[in-house]
Amino acid sequence: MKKEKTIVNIEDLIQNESFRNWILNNEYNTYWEDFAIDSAKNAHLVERAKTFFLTFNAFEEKFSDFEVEEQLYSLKSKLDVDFHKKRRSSFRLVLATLAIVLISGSFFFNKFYPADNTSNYNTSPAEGLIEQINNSNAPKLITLSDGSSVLLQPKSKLSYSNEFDIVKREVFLEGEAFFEVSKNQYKPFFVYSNEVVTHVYGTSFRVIAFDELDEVKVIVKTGKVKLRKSNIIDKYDLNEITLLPNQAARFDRNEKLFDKVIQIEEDKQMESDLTKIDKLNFVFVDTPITQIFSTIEDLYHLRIEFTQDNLENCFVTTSLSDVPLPEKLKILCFSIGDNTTYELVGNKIIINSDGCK
Amino acid sequence: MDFNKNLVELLFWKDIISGDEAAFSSIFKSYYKPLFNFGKLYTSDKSIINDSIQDLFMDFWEKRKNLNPDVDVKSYIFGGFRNKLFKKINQRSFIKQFGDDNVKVGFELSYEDIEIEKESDKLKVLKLNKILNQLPPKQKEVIYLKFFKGLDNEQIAEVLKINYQSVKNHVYRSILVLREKSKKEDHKN
Repeated sequence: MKKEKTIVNIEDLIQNESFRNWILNNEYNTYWEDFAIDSAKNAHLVERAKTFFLTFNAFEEKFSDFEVEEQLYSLKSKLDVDFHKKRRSSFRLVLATLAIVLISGSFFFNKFYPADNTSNYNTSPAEGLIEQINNSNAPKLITLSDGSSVLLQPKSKLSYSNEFDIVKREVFLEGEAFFEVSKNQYKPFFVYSNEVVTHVYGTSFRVIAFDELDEVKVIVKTGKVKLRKSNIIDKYDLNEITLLPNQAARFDRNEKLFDKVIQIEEDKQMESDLTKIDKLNFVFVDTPITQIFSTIEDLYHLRIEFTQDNLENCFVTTSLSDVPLPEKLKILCFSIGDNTTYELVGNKIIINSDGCK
Repeated sequence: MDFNKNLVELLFWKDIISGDEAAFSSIFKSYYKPLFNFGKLYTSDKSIINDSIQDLFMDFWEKRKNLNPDVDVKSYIFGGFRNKLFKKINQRSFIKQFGDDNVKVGFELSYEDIEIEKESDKLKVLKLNKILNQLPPKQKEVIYLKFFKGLDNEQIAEVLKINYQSVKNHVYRSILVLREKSKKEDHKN
């Protein structure tokens, strides 16, 4: 430990970094413990320094991360407004664009709205959001532009913008989905569903929010998840509840209250909502890659195509927990070998590889 | 440790200048709370504080190409914020003569604000707060930046637009006063 210079004044104490850490962060430090009991004068100094810190602390306004997020969002939207102004100023350009769109309307229509009845893809240009609706009987995989993956359950709808904004990622859910969110500490990820806002940075969790049900449920698989009430019902209630892995919460839509479940296993009803993907930890030890592929096919309801001969004798040891599907595939390709890549096309994954070496 | 933090900030600052939105968000998030609390030294009007922070960062983003890449980020941001806030306070108070002297400086702290369990600690905090509030305005600012926010004398000079030597004098004088007054308070007990 580096030697402290002789402390005689309270100002030296206050400004001393290791002293600050000792008091404020309860960092273990024998130097300061000895110092404090060395003399009555020292003990008095330490007391006064503590008072100083307490005063600073009392003076500081306490903000939740969410309030800071809101300020950043409002700043960002002001910057956006200015961009819009600039765009509006070139009114003629807008007219010209409009004319072109009208003239070639049918062409664009065919291009963006393929006449394919099996596809549930639909865009909503009015709000600039992409809407994905799952009318089938099986979960549907959606990958977002930030690398996150979402398993959208039957009778559910997910809306999101193609490109996320600069300060946050937002999606809107009606129904049920399992989220695996890519990590990005600069851009929090928000799921809006009925009266509940789910706030994460990079985690996996399930949200169940059907309009006809009396409750919204959020179940955490990995990472940390924060929940709060939507501004729609209470603009000023910014209280958040925090959920850790294996925890869950119910939001009673009538009472407008959260109920936290500390152990999912102890709540039979909540436990019954879990599917295979909620439970599997994605840790594979010396496992044939073909077997990992069939696990992924099963969990994400998609097909993986690869040349059987090339990958037959590949064994992989890896942990794929807490990462979205695209990241999982990247890690797997990397573990197979340098010349392995994947393509995600609709609900089909194509693995290109000349085998493991 | 502080050195590393400065270095990271400087890198972020350069990223902002080259148009990196993530760096911009990150700097905003790490400065929002410190600036807000610094603002509370001059006004209890929270909306004016928030507006000043917003204006400052709007300027940074819109005029990022003209920002100096080699500044001391901390003092630049604190100083810029103080300017914005003073302008707004002056505008609101309808005082024709603009100047720093129109702005009141004080540590406003009420009994309710203090979330401390121990009653004796709470009283100590109120006493110290009272002593701090009796300091002349410039000394309050210097004390706040030096001991609350950890700025060094050079940075404080930059933020308050005064010279290095007067920062040193203010620090010296305020410490003398604090020491004397706390002794008196202690004797009363």
